[in-house]
Amino acid sequence: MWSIATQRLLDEDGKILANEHRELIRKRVNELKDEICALHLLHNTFAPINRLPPEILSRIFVQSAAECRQDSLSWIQVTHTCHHWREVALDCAALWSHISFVNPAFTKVMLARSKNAPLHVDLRTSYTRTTPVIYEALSEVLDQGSRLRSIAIDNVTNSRRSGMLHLRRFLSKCKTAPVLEELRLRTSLDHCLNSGFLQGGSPTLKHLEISGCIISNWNTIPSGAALITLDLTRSHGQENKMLSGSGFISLLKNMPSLENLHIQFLLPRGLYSQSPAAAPFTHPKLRILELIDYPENIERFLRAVHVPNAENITFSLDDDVNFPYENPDLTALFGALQSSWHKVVSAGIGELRVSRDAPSYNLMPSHSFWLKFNNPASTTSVQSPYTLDLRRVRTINMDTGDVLLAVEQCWGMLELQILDLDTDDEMAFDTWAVMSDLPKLQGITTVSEQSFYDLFQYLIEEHTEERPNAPIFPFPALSSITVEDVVLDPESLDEWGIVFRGRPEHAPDLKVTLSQCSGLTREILDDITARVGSRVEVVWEGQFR
Amino acid sequence: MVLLLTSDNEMFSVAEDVIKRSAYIKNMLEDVGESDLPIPLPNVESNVLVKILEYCEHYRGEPLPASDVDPAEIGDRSLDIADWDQKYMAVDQEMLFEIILAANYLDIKSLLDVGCKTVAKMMKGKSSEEIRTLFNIANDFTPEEEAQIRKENAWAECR
Repeated sequence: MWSIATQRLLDEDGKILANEHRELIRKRVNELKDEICALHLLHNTFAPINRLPPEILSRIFVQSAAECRQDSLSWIQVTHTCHHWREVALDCAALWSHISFVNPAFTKVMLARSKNAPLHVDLRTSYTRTTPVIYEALSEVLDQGSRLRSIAIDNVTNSRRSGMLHLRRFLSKCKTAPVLEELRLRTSLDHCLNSGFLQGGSPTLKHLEISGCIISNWNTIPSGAALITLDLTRSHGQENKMLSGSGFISLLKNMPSLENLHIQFLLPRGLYSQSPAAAPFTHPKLRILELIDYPENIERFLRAVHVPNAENITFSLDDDVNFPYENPDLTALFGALQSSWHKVVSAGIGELRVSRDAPSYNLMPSHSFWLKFNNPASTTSVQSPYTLDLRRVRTINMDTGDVLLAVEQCWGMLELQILDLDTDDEMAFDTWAVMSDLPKLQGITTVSEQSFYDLFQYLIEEHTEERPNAPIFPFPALSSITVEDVVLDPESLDEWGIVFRGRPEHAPDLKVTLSQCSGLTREILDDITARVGSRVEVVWEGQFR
Repeated sequence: MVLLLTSDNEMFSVAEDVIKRSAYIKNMLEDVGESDLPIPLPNVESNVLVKILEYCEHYRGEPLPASDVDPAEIGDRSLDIADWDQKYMAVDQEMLFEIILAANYLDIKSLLDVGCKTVAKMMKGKSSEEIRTLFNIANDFTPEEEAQIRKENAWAECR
């Protein structure tokens, strides 16, 4: 059972003192522990995975860490596997360069182990508790200006005083960041962006996102030839009266690679040029614009800046109760868009979505226009159908009819194929009359009682009244109607027959899909099916109660 | 055709456009020019080369990756692996590491990338003890190292 060395120790005769003997045993135990450790070390050199050279093991570790870095330090387990792996990991600066703030002591350790690797700072409070100690650690990391590769900090508010102080210090102190590529700063600092911030140079900066800092002058925005995305959101304390149009043009001129521009309530309110005859500035690279502002500010921007190569533009028109606007001049707005983006507009409108549901921004605008146009440079023969998707338009001081009228005036609707309506406002008979003439309108979706009722009433009148100027039959290309979220009245089933039996022989077959319609029973569905005739298929998407 | 001689002395005749996915072979062909002599691959056994050629054949005609990635940026990339690559990598550990070593030696960047991602995915969500079991590794830390590791584990858990 015992090794020879141990046996020799145990076989000593009884002359030795107990204490000395105990000491010898302790030594022997330590010798054995060291030997076991050495044997394990030797064992590990034969493990197949340890045939991989350190640079490949490092690469595996870095990839492993990337997968779970956002919300945990579980990746650190790979550095706790064996002596060899730990040595490889400690020697791999890139593994420690995505600085964690889950514990300030560990932040310091990571900073040291990352040696001179470019640093990635991600302090998003959704997954990190913020305390003054954390902010001190953050400050220490941000002091490494020459090594900062990416910075993402959010939710540093005035209530988090320590964070605010450290961040202000960073903003006033950081003049150059030679390897910085991404800066995302979402705060409620209400702190003026310092004119020196990154003005010493950030030649590799590609993504700049600032929210919650007061921008007193466009000169304070770091610009650079490499910048691809600029995302600016107004601070609550911002007064953008002083932001000049000409300054904004100068800023854009300093960003020749800019492709994505997202700007929220910071568009200049004043003129872009003193001379009304001044030529607009053309930015050839801008592809995606998200402009969230008052209609007149967006219009002014589009008149001053032309974006011939844009792919899509989103407008969000706010109806802030504090600064309400009335009756936006959509025709002027669309006209400005057409002058700014003429080449693409001329290829044909692809989709217009008007909605109260805006994308996820901090300051939620109430409405958005999302316009997508057919791309003239597209190599695919399949273009998306021209779609108008109008949702709850009425509350922005205009109704669905206003939008349709402006679209008709600016771009026409002869090519319109899909009309989606989710709106409670009443659509005038004349508006439906215009729609019913459209030669390519194939599909209509109504998501509300009102729009369904309006369409139905229009069709009933079309089929029951003599109209000398009416089209031969309404909606000549219509092949699909989808009705959602409507209460079906069993008393008015006769109307289905009037509406659909009147379709002429040469009209396309029609599919009517009912979805989420309360009051519908199998009997009612059978009744409707019997009334509409064989060329109309009625489908219920759901379960009968 | 290009002749390749493996470490166990097996000769393979391979179409040039297939094996040019290996930057090592591609550069050699460009430097040496056409030759009837086989290219020796002393670090690759025949069973591994068969597997490597299966990969190169599958991606024949696909554009080669532009250049190697900056090791510091590898961590920015996702661990997603294409379906075919996942099936290709469903081999025992011995072969998996041989493929990675061969991809490294032959300088086939995309294959090396897939191999590393596969191993990283195998470790995902596992404790150090589970990783040891997975790769037949023993705990060979000294007591001092164990103490430091305990500290790091406490940091990791104190969220």
